[in-house]
Amino acid sequence: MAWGRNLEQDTIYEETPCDVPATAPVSDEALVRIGTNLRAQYQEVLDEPIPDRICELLRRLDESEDDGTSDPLPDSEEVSR
Amino acid sequence: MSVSPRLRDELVTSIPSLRAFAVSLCGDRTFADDLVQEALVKAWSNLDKFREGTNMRAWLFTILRNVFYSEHRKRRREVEDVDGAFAARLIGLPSQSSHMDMQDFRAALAMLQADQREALVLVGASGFSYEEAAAICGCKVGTVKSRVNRARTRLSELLSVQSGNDYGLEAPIQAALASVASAGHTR
Repeated sequence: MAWGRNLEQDTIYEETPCDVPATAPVSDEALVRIGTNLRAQYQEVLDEPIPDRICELLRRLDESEDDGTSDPLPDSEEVSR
Repeated sequence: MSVSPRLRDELVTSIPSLRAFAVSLCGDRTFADDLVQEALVKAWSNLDKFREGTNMRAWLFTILRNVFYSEHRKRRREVEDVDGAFAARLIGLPSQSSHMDMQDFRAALAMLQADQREALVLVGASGFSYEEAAAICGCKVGTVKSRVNRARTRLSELLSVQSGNDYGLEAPIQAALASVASAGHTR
């Protein structure tokens, strides 16, 4: 999977759970650049239409409700754990 | 189970941001939509557990995040980790955005540790407070703050190399990918 490597590193990663930055301060210019790009990238996905297969899923969920079927897809019972 | 129209509307309205969060978690549109679908099914069948008046979007993000991490654990058992292969592909492909800065940024973001990237996206792009992000990630507020700080510092390091020469991010990223690749071989 895409970010698998990073996830693995999590286990050896040391946290500093405090409000003080554990590292050198980032310049205002860099903060602006990071913030702008981060939001732009996120916005790109936000602006995409909802894919057909998700619309189809919503239709099925609506129908399952009308039928009185509480279990629209096989794996939905996993949730109640 | 009957779903109130208001809750259904709230759920549907959240789908675009849920997708954006999913893409930021896994870096892949198709897999992201798989995650969104599974999260929606889980959410739908658990809407009776949702307390009206609380934050629907945060609730959905929490469900999606759980789906992602349990899926990740499952897949790790089944398939060999692709390590840096995805990041390499990402750099090779032209970005949907033609903006060069955005391409560099995307590549740099892909190099962050998952927990740092997640915290940064929740706070810096999804618009959650540190408290909400902590609830979504199931950690302390201070931990989220620390992760966001580390993410910004690392990104700024990666991106500052770029402004210092004409080669963009290529050199540091190639170096990082090489080290990832060699680490992968030794496992």
